[in-house]
Amino acid sequence: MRNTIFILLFSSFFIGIKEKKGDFTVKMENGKSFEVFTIYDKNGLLEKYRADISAPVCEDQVCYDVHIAFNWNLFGEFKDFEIQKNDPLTKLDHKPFLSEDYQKLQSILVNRDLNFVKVPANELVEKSDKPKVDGYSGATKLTIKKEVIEGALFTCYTLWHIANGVVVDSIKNRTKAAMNKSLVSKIIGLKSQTANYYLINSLNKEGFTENIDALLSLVLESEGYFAKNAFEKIPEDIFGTNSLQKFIIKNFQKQDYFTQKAILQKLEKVKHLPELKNYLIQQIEIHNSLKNQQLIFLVLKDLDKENLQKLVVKLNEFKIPVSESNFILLKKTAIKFDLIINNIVKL
Amino acid sequence: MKKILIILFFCQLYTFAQKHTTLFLEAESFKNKGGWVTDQQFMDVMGSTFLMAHGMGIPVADASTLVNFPKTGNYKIYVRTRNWSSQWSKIEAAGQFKILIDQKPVDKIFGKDHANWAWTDGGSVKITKKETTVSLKDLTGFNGRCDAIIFTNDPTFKPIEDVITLTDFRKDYFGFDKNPRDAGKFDFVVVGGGMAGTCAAISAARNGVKVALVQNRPVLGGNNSSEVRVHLGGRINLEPYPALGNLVNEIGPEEGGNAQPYSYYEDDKKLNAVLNEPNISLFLNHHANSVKTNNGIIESICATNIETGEKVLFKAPIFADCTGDGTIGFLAGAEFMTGRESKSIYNEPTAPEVGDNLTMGASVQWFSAKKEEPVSFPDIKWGMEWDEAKSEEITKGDWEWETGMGLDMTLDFEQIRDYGMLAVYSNWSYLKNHSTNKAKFANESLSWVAYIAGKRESRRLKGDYVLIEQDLTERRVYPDGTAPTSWTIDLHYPDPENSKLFPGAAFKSIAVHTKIYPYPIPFRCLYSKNINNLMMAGRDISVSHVALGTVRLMRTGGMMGEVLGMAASVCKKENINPRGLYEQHFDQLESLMIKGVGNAGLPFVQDYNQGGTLMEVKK
Repeated sequence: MRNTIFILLFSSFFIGIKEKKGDFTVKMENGKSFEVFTIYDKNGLLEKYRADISAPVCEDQVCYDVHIAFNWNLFGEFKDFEIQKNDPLTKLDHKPFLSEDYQKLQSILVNRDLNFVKVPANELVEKSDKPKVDGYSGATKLTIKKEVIEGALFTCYTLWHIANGVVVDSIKNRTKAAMNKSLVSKIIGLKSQTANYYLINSLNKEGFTENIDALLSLVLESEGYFAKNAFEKIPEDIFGTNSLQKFIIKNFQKQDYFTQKAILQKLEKVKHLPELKNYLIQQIEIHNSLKNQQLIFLVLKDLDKENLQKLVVKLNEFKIPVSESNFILLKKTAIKFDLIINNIVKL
Repeated sequence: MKKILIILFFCQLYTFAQKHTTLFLEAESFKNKGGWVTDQQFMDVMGSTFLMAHGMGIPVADASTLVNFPKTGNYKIYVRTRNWSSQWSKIEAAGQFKILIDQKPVDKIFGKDHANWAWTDGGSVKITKKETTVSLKDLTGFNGRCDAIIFTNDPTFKPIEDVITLTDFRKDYFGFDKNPRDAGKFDFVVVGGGMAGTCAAISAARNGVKVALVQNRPVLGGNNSSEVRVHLGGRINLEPYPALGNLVNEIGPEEGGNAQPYSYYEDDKKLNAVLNEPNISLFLNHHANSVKTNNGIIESICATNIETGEKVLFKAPIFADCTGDGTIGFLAGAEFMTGRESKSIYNEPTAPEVGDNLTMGASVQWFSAKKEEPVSFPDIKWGMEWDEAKSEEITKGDWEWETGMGLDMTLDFEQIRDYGMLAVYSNWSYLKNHSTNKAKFANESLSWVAYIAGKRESRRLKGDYVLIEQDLTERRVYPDGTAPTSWTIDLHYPDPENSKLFPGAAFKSIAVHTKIYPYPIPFRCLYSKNINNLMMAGRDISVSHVALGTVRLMRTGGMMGEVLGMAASVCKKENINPRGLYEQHFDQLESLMIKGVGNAGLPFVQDYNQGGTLMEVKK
C-alpha cells in the first residue's frame, strides 16, 4: 500500500526539481553525482532531504538507467522512495517491478543489517558452478538470494549503497549546522531513539547549555541506555550548576545502577552543593561496588568537618568497606580536621 | 596401546585363574577408525562412547584394530549394538554392519535385531592367530553403531545387559576407575569447550588463573564448531561493559551462516587461541561424568577419555559448568530447572498457565552439493512414509530442522538426534527417487548431515537469582549486571504446518520473537545457589525458560564466559567463592569487566547474525 502511494505521489516532484541545483552534491563511487535538496516544514524548520537519482545498473550484462527519488530524515536515515509511473524499475528480463517487489525494495533500503551489501560487487555472483571446499557450491549465492529481489540483485545493491552511503554523513552534518533551539525542540518532539541519540551526539557545549532542561526531561522518559549515554555526553561544566545538581538529588534514585555511575563520574571534577554532599552520603550502601567507592570518593572531595564525621559514623556503623585509595584520602582528610578515625574496614 | 596391554593383562588373569579367556574390545578404542565416527553424546545414558558409520547413504571405510588373543581356538562373539531405526519402522534396518576377523566376515549381520542397546549374539568364530585384526564393515552408510565386542571361550559367560552393572564390569575390567590419572593442580576447572567454556578458560588464563579446560569432543566451539555448524548470534561490545565481547570477536569465525562448509566455523582459530595460553591445560575428548562433593562444595570431577576410556581426575577450588546440559551441577546435586515454568511461578506473561516439559529442540542441519554427474541415493524402506505434501524441495536444512521438543534433552537425546537424521534421510530419499521434481535434484549429493545435534535448551542450574521475562521487557537492571544479552526473546515451538503432517512428531520449528533492549545478565545468575564453588556460563545459567530465549545465543554465552574467567581470578585473589565475590568484592569484577580481556585492537568481524534489538545505537 505504502509503495503504491510512493508511485502516485511521485511525478510532480521529479519534473519540478530535475534540472535544479540542490543544496549540496553527493558524489557516488562510479564518479557520478546527485543533488540533494533540503525540504522545510511550514515553520521554516528542516523537515527532510530528497534527491533525484539516476544511476546505471547492470543485471547480467543488461544495463539500464534507474530513475528514482529518495527521501531521508534529518539524521540521514533512508525513509522512502518514489518512482515515475511511466518509468518503473525493471528486473533481469526487463519485466517491471511488481507491487511486492517495491515493498521488498523499501524493506531492503531501510535495513542496515543486511549481509549482501557488505559483499564486494564483483563477488555477488558465483563465477563457477564447480563445487567449492567441502563439496558445496553456491552457498554465498543462496544467502544473498534470501535478502534481495530475484532478478534485481544489482538494482538492490546499487540503490542500497546510494541510500546508505556517503549521503548519510552529509545529511547529518547539514542538520548539525542548522541546529537551533527550535530545531532541537522539533527533534525532541519526534520521540525517536535515533533522534534522541542524534541530539546528544550533535550538540555542542552551548547547545547543551541552551537546551539542558529539554534534554533532562528527555532523559526522564527515555528507554534503554539513553539516560546513561546522555549524562556521559553532557559537558562536565553543566554538572557544576545548581540546577543540574538539584535535578540529580531529585532523580538519582530513579536511574539504573549504570546511569548512576555515569552521573557520579561527571561529578568528580565539579564543586558540590552542600545538599548534594549530604545526599551522596545517604546514598552510600553497605554492599560493596564500584559505585559505592565512587560515592565515598565524591563525598571525601572538599569535605567539611561535619560531613566527615557523618561519613565516618556511617562507615563504622555499617562496616562499609573502603578501597585503598579512598582510605588514604579519608586519612588525609581526617588529619586535616584533627580527627582520629578507627575501625574503618579496608577492602 | 595401553588399553591393549591392559586387555592382555586381564586375559592372562582370566587364563590362569579360570582357564578361559574373555576379551572386551571397546569400538571407540579401535586404532584405525576408518570412516566411522566417535559418538559420545549419549554415554551417560547407554553407558559408553560408540563408533557410528555416518556415511549419509554411502558405506564408510572399515574400522579395524589388532587384537592379541592369548590363545587360538573357537570364541563366542557378542556385539553391543542396536537397530536405531526400528522405533519408527519395522521394515529393514538403517544401520547394518559386519565383523571381519582378519578380513573374513562372520556370518551374522549386526545392527538389525533389537531396538535398544543390547548384546547381539554373533555366533562362534575360529581364531587361528594370536595376533588377529578385527574390523567393522559398514553395509549401509546409515549410522550403524557398535559400542563394544566381546570374544569369549567361556561357555558359561553371559554378557551383561543392565547398563549400571555393565559399567561396573567395564570399570573392573579396565581398572581405570581404581586409579584415575591426576590431571594436576588447577585454580579453575572449566567443563565444556563451547563458546562459553572456551572464553571462560581464556579469560581466566589471561587474568593469571591456572585453568583446565575439559571438552568431550575433539574440537572446540560446541554448536559453533564444524561438527554442528550454527553461526554465532547476538551482539557484543554493548553497554554497560563495551569491552566484553572483544574475546568473542578475537576467536569467533569471520563468516556467518548456518549449515555452511567446514571452513566457515574456523575450529583452528578457537583451538589455537586456547593453545596460545600457557595457563590453560586442554583436555579434548574428555567427558566429565562424575563429581565428588562435600558439604555443597565440589572437591573434584572425574572425566572419561571418550576414546581410551581412561579416567582423569581434576581438582580445583572453583569449577565452571559450561556443558550446556548443566551436567556438572546435576552430578553435584545443584538445584536445576527444566521445561517451561507455569505462569504462577514467576508471573511471566509468556509462560503457560500450566508448566510442562516443552523445551526448545535440537537441530540436525544438513546440505547437499551439486555434482557434475547425476548422483543416486538409496531408496530407503526404513524411513518415514513420505509423499509430495511432505516433501521439502530444498538443498539445505537450517536451524528450523529442529526435533525433540517435549522430550528429555539428556535422557532421550539419542532418539532426538536420530529422529532428526531420519527426517533428513526420508525427505532426501523421496526427493531423489520419487518426487515429481526429482530431475531437479538429480545432480545433488547429500554431502553433510550433522551427527552432533545442536541443542538449544536443557537443564538450567538455579543461581542466587533467576532471570525472568519481566526483567528483560521492563528493563529491571541490577547493579550486578554483567554480560549483555541483546537477541530477542526467541522461543521455538513445533512448526504447526509440519505438526499437521507429522502429528506429535514435528521435526521443524518456528520462532516467536520479542525484541528487548540489551540487558546485563546479573552475576547472581552465573553461579549455583547451593553448590558453593560452581559457576556457569552458556545456556545452563539461572534463567526461566522464557528468559532463556534471549541469553542462549553464543556470542552472549561467550561474554558470560569472559565474565566467569574474570570472576575466577577475583575468587583466586581473595580466596572466596562466587557468592563471596558478589557480596564483598564485586567492585573488582566491575573493574575487570570495564577493562575487558580480549584484544580490542582487532577489526570487528562479528557483524553477522546480530539479531534485532531495541537499541539502535551501538556504543
